[in-house]
Amino acid sequence: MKYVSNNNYVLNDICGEKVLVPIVNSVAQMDFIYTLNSTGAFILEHIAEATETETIVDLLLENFETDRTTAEADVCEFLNEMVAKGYVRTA
Amino acid sequence: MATTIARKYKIASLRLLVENTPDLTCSDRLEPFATDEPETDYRLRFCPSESDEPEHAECGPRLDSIITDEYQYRWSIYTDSLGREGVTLSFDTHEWLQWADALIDGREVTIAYRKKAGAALGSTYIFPLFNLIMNRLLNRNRGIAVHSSVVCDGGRGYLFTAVSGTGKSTMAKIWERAGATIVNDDAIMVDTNPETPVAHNIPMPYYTDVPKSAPLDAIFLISQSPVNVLEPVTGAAAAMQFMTNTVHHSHAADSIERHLQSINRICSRVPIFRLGFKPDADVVDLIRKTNLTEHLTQWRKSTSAN
Repeated sequence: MKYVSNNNYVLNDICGEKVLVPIVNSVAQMDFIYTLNSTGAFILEHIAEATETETIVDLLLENFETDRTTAEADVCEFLNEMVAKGYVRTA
Repeated sequence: MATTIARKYKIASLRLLVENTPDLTCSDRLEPFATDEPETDYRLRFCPSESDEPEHAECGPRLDSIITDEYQYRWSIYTDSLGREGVTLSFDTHEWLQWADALIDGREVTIAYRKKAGAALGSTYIFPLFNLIMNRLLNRNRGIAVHSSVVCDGGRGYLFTAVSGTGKSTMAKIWERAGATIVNDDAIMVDTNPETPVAHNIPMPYYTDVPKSAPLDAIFLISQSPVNVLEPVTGAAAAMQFMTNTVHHSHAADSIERHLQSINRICSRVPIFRLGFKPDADVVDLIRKTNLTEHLTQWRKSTSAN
């Protein structure tokens, strides 16, 4: 499956950690700011264009000390959460 | 022929040339901030309009309607077809104003407005338009607005921030009774350009104040507590908690990035503490007696050792 960013957030460093700040149209939504662990930030940084899940898993295996089963589970869980929050969609 | 009256003000480090029109008076809220500095950062030019609706009423992200004791208004931030940013407000209840629209074009801010028919003279301080313009200009100039109180105690500036009702004003009054000066007990603009960020007050809607400022020596995330507890907080956790009480700029990516850069500058230069406090003079003694820099250093050593 391919995923792509909705480009409706800013991913940036705050004091050495990655935070996701949504671009929103309502004051009521402005309280949602998320800190991301290194894996989550890495995944988001690599889905600017439509990207196959398999490609993201391969990139994780190249850049993090993990095994394929764990990487696949991490990617699946994280992207499902990002889709649910509206920051990522399936392409 | 209509006469334009120009006044210069310095507010939160920004030098503003305000050009008004004969049907607006120079606001007594702004006058204490008058400056004779020759340079100007922005020119704010008022322009009366006969239109029933602001030109930019329906473009850009629409933000929430706000209801205060005095006014009910709707506002939005927009980007026009030329890529210029602006703020527009429509009032349901206002003694003299129907709507106002501030378009920012480089160093020029054009404030179009429509007076109510038969209304008396207005003033150059339009709340909350002035605050919204300041927030936008500060965002472009490494500044941020913080819901906080700030006191200056013997040249040391302390910022106390929390959600409404937690005790920001109470804390400021406690410090005032102990001899400190209140910079402001609710709305603060922080200029992050200096090596030590500086907290400024701004003109307030319901009373007239004089300009005050203080270099920030410490930031306190306050909560009420049966005993006084002072604990350093660092890293992203500190920044995020502090950021919660700042005025956000979440309508556009470039605004968010500038805001985060300002947050980073503050949090890398000013120590942040969680402060549980009971509302009496003991909390002043605690902070005065604590070497905050040393306290932070020792805390960092102890946490890294663990």
